[in-house]
Amino acid sequence: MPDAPAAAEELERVFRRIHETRMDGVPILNPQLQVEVVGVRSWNGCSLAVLVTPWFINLMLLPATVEQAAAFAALPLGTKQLHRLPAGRFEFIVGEEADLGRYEMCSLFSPVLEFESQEAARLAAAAALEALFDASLDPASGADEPARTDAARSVDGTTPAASAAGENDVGDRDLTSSATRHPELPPSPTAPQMGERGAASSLPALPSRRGFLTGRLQPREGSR
Amino acid sequence: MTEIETFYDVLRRQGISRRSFLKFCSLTAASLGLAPELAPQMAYALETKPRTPVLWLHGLECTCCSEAFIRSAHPLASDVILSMISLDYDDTIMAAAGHQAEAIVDEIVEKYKGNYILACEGNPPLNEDGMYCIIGGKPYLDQLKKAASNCKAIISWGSCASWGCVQAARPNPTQAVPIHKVIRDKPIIKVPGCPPIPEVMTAVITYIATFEKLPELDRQGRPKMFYSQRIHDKCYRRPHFDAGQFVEAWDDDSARKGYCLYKMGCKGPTTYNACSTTRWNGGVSFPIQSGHGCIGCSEDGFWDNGGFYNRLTNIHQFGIEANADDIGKTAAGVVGAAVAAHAAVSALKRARDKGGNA
Repeated sequence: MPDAPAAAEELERVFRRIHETRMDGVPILNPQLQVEVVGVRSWNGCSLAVLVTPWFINLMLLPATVEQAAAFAALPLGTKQLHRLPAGRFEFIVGEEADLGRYEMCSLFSPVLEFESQEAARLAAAAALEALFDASLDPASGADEPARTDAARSVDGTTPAASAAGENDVGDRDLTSSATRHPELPPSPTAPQMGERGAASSLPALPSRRGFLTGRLQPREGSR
Repeated sequence: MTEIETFYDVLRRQGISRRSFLKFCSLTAASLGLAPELAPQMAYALETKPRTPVLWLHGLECTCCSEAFIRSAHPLASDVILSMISLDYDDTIMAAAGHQAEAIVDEIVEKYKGNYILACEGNPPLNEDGMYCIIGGKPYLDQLKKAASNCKAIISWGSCASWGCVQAARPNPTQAVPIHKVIRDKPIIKVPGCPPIPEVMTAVITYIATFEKLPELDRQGRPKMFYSQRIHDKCYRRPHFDAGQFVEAWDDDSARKGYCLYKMGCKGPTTYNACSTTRWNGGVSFPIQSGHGCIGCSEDGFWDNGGFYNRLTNIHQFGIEANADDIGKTAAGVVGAAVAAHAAVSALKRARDKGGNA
C-alpha cells in the first residue's frame, strides 16, 4: 500500500485529471481554486486528508494497509460509514474511482464559490483537519454542541409541575428561553427524578433500563 | 376539555405498551440529535405533563402536510402520533363541523390563553380583503390573527406557511404571504418542505411538548437539527458528483449506474433539508434514490427558481449565503485565516453526525 505522501500525490493526480476532463465546463467551479491535498494524516490504518478542488472540499479517507483495503472493498458503494474521530462522530460516504480504488468522503464545502483564493481554501482545509483531531470539540465531552447544551439547560428549566398546576399558569413563559422560572419538581416516589438533574453528562446514577421499565406501571404487553 | 390527559395516558388507553412508548422516546431523542440520556427525560415529560393543546389551521394549501404528518412512520404509527398533542381543531380530521367547529377556535383562544401552539398549514391571501380563502364565512386572515393572538408559539408547517410556495409564485394573483409576514409578535418555527418529512414534523412536536420551548433555530427560523445540511452534503450519490460522473440524459448508461443528477437539474446543492439522511416512507427512499433530482421544495421561492430540470449554474441565485447559517455571517468570501478557521470549524460541526452521540 502507498504511504501517506504517495497516497496524497495519487489523490491529487486523479482529481486533477477529473478536473480537466469530466468537470470541464461545469458551471459551478470556482476558477480561483485548484486541486490540492492539504495535510495528510495516518489514522486507523488509513490516510486521512482534506482534498481541495474547485468544486468541493472534502475529508478523504483512503486505506493505507492491506487489511483496510480489503475492508473498504467489502463496503457497498454509496453506503454511509460512521467513524469516531476526536471531534465527534462523522459520517463518510463510500466512493470509488478507477485509479484510486475505494475511498470514503465526508463533505465540508460544496460548491466552494465563497473561497476567494487557493490560500483561503488551504487555510480552511488545514483548520478543519486540525479541528477534527481536537477532542474539546467533541459533543460527548460536554463542552460544545448546541443541541446538547440546549437540551441539558432545558432539563433544569422545564417544569412539568408548573404546567400540571394550572392551564394558564405557564402562559407567560418565554418559549424561546428556558431561563425563566425554576420551581422544584414534586418529589415522585416512583418515577426517577430526571427532571432535577443538570447537564446530561452528570447523569451516572440513572436507573437501569429494567428499573425504569418496571419502576412504574407494569407494561401491558401483547395488547398491540 | 376540562382536564387534559398526558400523552402517556392516551397511549395506555389505546393499548400501547410501555416498551413501545420508551422506544419511541429514544428514537425521537436520537432523531433530534439529543444525547441518549435525554430519552428518559422525554419519557418523563410525556408521562407527567398535560398534552399541549394545538390549533391546526388550514389556509391556502393542499393538505399534503397533514397527509405527511398522519403517515409518520415512527413505531407508534399514525393514530398515536395524533395523540401526542391535544389536537383540538384541525378541519381535516376533526369530527366537529360548522358553527360547532368554529366555536372550538374561540374557546381554545380564551381557555388556553398563552398556552397553546398554533400550527399553520397553508397561508393567507391578502388580495381583495382576503376573499380568496374564506373559512366559516370570514377571511382566513381573520381566523389566523385571532388564533395567533393568544398562542405561545406558531409552527409554520410546510413551504406554504414558511415561504409562500406555489400560491405565492409569480404573479401571485391572490397575494398569498407566509405566516411570518402577517404575524410578527410570536415565536415562529418554520418546518419547510412540500410536504415536510413526517419524522421531522413529529420530532419538532415532541421537542416542544417535552421541553416547552422551541428547538434551536437557524437565522431563517428553521430547526437546526434538520435543516443545517443540504441534500447534496449527505447524498449517497455524492461521490459521483465529486468524481465528475453525471447523468447526461434520462435513462442513459450513467443514469442506470446511479450517477449524480446535477446536470439533470438536481437542486440538492442548494437545498437545506434532511431527505438524504432521514429519507421518506419510513427511511425507504427519497427522490434522488428513485432516480430523479431534488426539486428543492423546502427552499424559499422554489417555484420561481427556474424549471425543475434546469441545471443550477449560479449558486448565488439561490442565495446560498443567506441560507448557510454560519458561513452566512462571514459570507461574501472567505479570505483571512480567522475567517477560514471559523468556516472550517462550522463546516465540521455541520458535518458531524446528528444522531445522538454514542
